[in-house]
Amino acid sequence: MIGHCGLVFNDEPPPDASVFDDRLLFLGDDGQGVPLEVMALELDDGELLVIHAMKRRPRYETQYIEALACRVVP
Amino acid sequence: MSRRPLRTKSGHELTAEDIAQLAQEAEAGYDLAHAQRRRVGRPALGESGPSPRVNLRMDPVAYGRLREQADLADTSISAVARGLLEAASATDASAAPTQTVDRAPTAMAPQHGSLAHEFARAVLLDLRESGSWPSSDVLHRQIARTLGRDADVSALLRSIPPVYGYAGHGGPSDSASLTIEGLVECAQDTAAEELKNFIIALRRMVEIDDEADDDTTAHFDDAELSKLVADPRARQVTCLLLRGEGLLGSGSYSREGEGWRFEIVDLVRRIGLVSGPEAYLARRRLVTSQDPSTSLGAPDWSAVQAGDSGRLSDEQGRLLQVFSRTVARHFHDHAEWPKSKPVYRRLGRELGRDVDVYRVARAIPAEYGYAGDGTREQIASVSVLSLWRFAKDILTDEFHAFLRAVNLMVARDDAASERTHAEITSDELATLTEGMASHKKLELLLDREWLFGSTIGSEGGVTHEVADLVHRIGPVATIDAYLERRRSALEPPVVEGPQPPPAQLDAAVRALGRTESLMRTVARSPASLQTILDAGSIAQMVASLSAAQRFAESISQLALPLVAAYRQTDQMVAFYQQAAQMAALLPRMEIFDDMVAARAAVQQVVGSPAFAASGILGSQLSVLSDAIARSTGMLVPALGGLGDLRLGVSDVAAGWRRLLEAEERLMPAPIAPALLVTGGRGVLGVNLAAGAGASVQLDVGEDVPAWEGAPLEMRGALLERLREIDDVLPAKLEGAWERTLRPGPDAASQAANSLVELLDWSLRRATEGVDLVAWHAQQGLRSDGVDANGRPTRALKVRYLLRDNPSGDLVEAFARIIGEAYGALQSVKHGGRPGDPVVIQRLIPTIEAALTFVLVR
Repeated sequence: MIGHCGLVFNDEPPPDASVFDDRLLFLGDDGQGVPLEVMALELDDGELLVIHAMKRRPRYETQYIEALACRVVP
Repeated sequence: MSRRPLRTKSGHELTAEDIAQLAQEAEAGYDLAHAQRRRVGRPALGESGPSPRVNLRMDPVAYGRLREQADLADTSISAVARGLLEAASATDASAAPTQTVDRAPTAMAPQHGSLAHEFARAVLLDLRESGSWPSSDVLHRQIARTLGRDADVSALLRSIPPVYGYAGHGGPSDSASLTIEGLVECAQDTAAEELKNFIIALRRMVEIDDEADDDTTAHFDDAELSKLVADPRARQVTCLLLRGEGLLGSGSYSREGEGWRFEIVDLVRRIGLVSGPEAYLARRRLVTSQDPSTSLGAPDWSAVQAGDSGRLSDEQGRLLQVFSRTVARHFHDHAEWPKSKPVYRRLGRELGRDVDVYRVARAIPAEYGYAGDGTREQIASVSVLSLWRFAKDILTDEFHAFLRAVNLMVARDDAASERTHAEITSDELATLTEGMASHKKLELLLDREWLFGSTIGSEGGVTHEVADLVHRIGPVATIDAYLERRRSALEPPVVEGPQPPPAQLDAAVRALGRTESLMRTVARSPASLQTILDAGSIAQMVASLSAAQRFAESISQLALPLVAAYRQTDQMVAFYQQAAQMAALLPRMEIFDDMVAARAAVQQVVGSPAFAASGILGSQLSVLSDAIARSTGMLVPALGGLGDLRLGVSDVAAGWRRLLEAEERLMPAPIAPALLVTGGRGVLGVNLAAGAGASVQLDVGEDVPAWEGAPLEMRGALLERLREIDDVLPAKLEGAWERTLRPGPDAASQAANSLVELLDWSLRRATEGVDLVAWHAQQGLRSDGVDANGRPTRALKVRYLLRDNPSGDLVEAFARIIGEAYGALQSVKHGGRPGDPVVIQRLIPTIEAALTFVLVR
């Protein structure tokens, strides 16, 4: 899903967080078309560490539709 | 084997606790309104950095050959072209084919037409390549390369007419876009494929809408589109074009793997089946035109005198028959009036695609019925006149009960003493409803005919006040007799001298009086506020304002033909007839004084400490605000041609504005977005919205006491202060107003962008040269003053600017208001689908108020 999600949302860490890196939120669909929300951190070697993944919640609907328009079509 | 520790990009070594905390944080969710957007997914082609994009145009034949090559090699056109270009550039630069310059960049005159073509071509190519609208900075750079260094690209692109598209401000977060009109006018040959797909999709949407039930919302989904447009990229482009035209409503992604799914909006139905892009544009211009002379299939009602139901044309009769029978069937089956939307759909089906139902239904005279606005929020209802004439076979039992009820109410009125109101209870009405499942239908019919004065809930039942109109109608034996008696009872007097006002106006005045009374009671007893001023009582206020709205309908029905007749001197007879009816209504214009008094009472309520502490009525007040806006919105067009009568209307709007300003000052924390929106309906919002709709310039400072002009003076001070800070800031504010008052396909996003820049720039420039971080550390303020990158936040800037203000709570409140407003604007700006310009418009006064508090000394 991360591979074809064309738009990533960089959210700043909360003020009281212990990890100061931007939170990267990906909104898109898995291979079955199930809408997902995935949160990842970028590591020092450029790889992504996925922290959280679940079915997309309604709160992200607007951003999900925004991301749809940017989806990378194989 | 030990695993290498995980380090984030910033060098932080992640522990299990960190990861658990991160997971918890992600599960709680993020507020992405402030999040940065970053395009990803197109990795660089080599090791030497980002891969620049090359856009070039090709002869269609050569393009066809290129496509064939790509198909044969099972690869993309880009890959084939890339290989050819790399090979050519690697062998011998001098052997490269001679470039044909079909337009000398520096010689290109910055004329409107050629610029628009260049703009359309650039946006289209990028759209094809990426499947999304290009960012504005990319577009600006592309055009700059074409026009040369001497051209002021930003200024030139701003001159692109909004009907063609939007070039953006040149920033990376702003997207450019094209309209269908832009494609047709500026790039029709190049965009043949896109236009074809657009029309195919639109036609299918119309068919789906036709096939949908009256009560359900039609949807258009990915599966449908994939049957029509096979290529996934082309499907994306088609979706963007449909969305840009406002033809897709709210959407969501199906969990069943069927792809996205969007609501088909009413505009699709109104446009109907079209043969091609030009036909689409022509039809769209017709249905969105404000000019009544362009209406499609709307009967001309001006020749029909009030109550003269015997002289309906075939067209009018057909319309009323479909309308009345549709409403009557629902009323019979469900004991309630139907929602407006399914009625519109049924009318659309029955009347055919050549008729613009939205204009036809709204033009139905009030005496025949009210079709609503075509949404699910409003209901449609039909008068007994129309029901009897067109649907008597459907409502036989109801008509019998109705006659019995009228006669009982007449008898009750006759028996009442002169000093008391005659009343009738719901239980008594229930005894008359033989053959009917519920007495509710009877009450709805009586209420629709204005035979009830008011409804009073009491222990053990509901009591209705018998309206004066019942007395004037008297006992009747048949529905025909009732209709005749009612018509003569309502007929406007044409003789000189004081005359009794029409009953419905009386009812409207009484309804407003009850609202005023209720609110005065509440104001006197703030302690009982929580129990009295609940959602139900506010609903009652809304209902009473609806009565005012019906009054507005009457005024509208009379005033519009009056103005039309006045302009045609050869219709003087009609003019005098209309003028006589109007004259009968004029004494009741004092109704607006009642509304202003009611508003004053609301202001008292809202100003009470108990209300400020509750903070739970934002959405209900929003409903109330809508009701006032609707009433005003109907009145202003009606009175647009009669200048002297506008004052009362603007007074109502000004009163409501003051009420909401009072509410803003008392806004409890945390600030709910609904309250922000409600507040935004205050300063000038109602006036300007209503005035814009009627092309009427409402001057709120005209003939009003000095204290009413104070808000305008305050606004002037804000503009002056903004100008001091930076000359461009007032233009940002005015630009936002301008975009919301002249909406286009991307108006909300553009207005939001202007406001974001206004907030950002004004706070930044006002604190320029100040070491805010040091000040923050020195003051020992809360931790949200500095962001993760060590930069001062907007809240910190507000705190600094208000550092001498003794009202600590208010400082924090305005810091939050600015934060909430900024977030809301960002979400519209980056929302990816058209926002509502009206919502942005209503937010502007809140931003003006906040900046006034923070910046003006």
